[in-house]
Amino acid sequence: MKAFRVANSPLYASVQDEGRFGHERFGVSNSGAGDIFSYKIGNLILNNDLNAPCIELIGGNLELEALSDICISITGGDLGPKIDGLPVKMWHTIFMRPFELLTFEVPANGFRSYVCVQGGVKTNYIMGSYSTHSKSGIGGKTLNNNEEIFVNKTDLKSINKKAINFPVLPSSEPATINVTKGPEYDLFDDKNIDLFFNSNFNVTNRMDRIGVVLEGPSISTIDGSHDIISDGTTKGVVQVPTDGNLYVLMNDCQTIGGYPRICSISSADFSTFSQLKPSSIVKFNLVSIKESQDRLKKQFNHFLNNNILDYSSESVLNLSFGDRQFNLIVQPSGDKFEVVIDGKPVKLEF
Amino acid sequence: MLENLKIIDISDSVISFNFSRIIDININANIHQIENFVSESKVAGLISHYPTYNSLIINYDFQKTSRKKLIDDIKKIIIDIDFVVDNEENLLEIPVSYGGTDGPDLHNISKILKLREDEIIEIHSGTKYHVFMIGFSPGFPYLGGLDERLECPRLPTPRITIPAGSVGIADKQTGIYPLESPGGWRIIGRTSLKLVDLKKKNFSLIKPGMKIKFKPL
Repeated sequence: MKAFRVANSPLYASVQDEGRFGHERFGVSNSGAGDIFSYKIGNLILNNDLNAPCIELIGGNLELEALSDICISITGGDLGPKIDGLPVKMWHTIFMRPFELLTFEVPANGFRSYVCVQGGVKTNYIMGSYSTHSKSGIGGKTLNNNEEIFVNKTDLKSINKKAINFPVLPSSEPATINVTKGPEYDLFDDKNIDLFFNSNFNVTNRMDRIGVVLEGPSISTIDGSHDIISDGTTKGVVQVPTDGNLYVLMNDCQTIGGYPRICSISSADFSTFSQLKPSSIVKFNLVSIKESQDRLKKQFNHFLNNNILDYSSESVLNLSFGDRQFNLIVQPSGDKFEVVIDGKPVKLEF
Repeated sequence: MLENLKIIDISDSVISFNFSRIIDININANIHQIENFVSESKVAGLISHYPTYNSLIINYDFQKTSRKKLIDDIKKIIIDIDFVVDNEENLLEIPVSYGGTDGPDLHNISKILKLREDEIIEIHSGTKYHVFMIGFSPGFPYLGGLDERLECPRLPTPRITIPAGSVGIADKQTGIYPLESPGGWRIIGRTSLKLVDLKKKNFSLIKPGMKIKFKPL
């Protein structure tokens, strides 16, 4: 079933799922949604398989025209989503009618948005995953102007769920990101380690799905050599190349690298890190492997215990009549309910 | 192998089982044997594994196993292995068209190295190479065994596109670009053999631990 037509040339939008595992020995890294929590919550809201493929939008600027009646959710970073010009609620089920236009502009808070569609986006399934590997083009799909996006046909369920608790976006600046020691931690002396943990680093615009460059004080190894015998790398690894900047590996990174690995971002904090936009400020905090794992287990239990979802007490509809667009909200008011159209309460008589 | 084993955490969910500080073909061949045994065993919480020069990299789910249990499980596998010296069943011969438009850098390498083009071809195709690992990009093999006489620096400016199948030399290494990609290696030839096929389960024809020989066309 056709779900969308891409109506502009987006900055970078691709199809992603949980990721592709077990093919690293052939140089194929995991890919998958950067902010895995927001992505999974998006599917949870729609009663989708938690691993159903979605559209990951990085940095905004996307227009999707609905081609069928579809039910979607938008989670992750707030990139100003609107339907036919009216703001829509994130972390909610949203129904779209054919020819309605979903648009994203610039990042307001966060940097990656997830558009999940009931039934899941249908695309190339390669090596056990629908994820797009941006560098090689393995699997999935990158969204280009005028292309059509398909979904698995599904009977739209009338669900009205919303996410109530999503501790993903950084709550303050600088964002504090927990890290564990990397294999080459000891190649750096106390002075450089102090600099690493007590400085603010700036997220630069040199970023893609492979890595993010952070600028701050220059970090150097004891003997000044930044070449190691190439060894394993994975998402979250913080490499320090010769220029002294930090190079944080993201989901599509190479499986093998030759730069010192000073630290690695905690699994529990990777979603937050992936939401940092250029010129955000980040600080690092050292935790042990055990603390790092315990934090993720806690997040995961919170997720499993379903403390994340609630049935929404309000309904939002985007309606059109002739050329006019309406945003209609039905919300509780004491033991009755009230209807609000374009922000103005409407008196109802039965 | 266990006596040299160092456990190095790459992240909270990836461990490098490191066996050496130097690059050594025999140690690397043993790591490939360990990997085969690991992939045939049912290790709890194992997500994926792959070899590098000196390590076996293990990605594990710490919600399904503990770090300690995973390390013990892998060590138990290593203890039971009778390491065998590499046999040659795993030799892959790759036909290469050297020079001309297929190998645009053969001519300039010949000048740099002060060797005739046919000498370069003879030396390059006369060596059996060991596949240490695959990485950098999907399907790209790191080959060991380049004859010292062929060592030469990378191109000063990398090319934007190198066609799939290109065979190159850079510093002490030789390799093949399985997919079209940018790159700074000097290209001496090209194979028409399809090295990766996305539709296949084992998508790369070249596998870690294999031996490779180039056959001039």
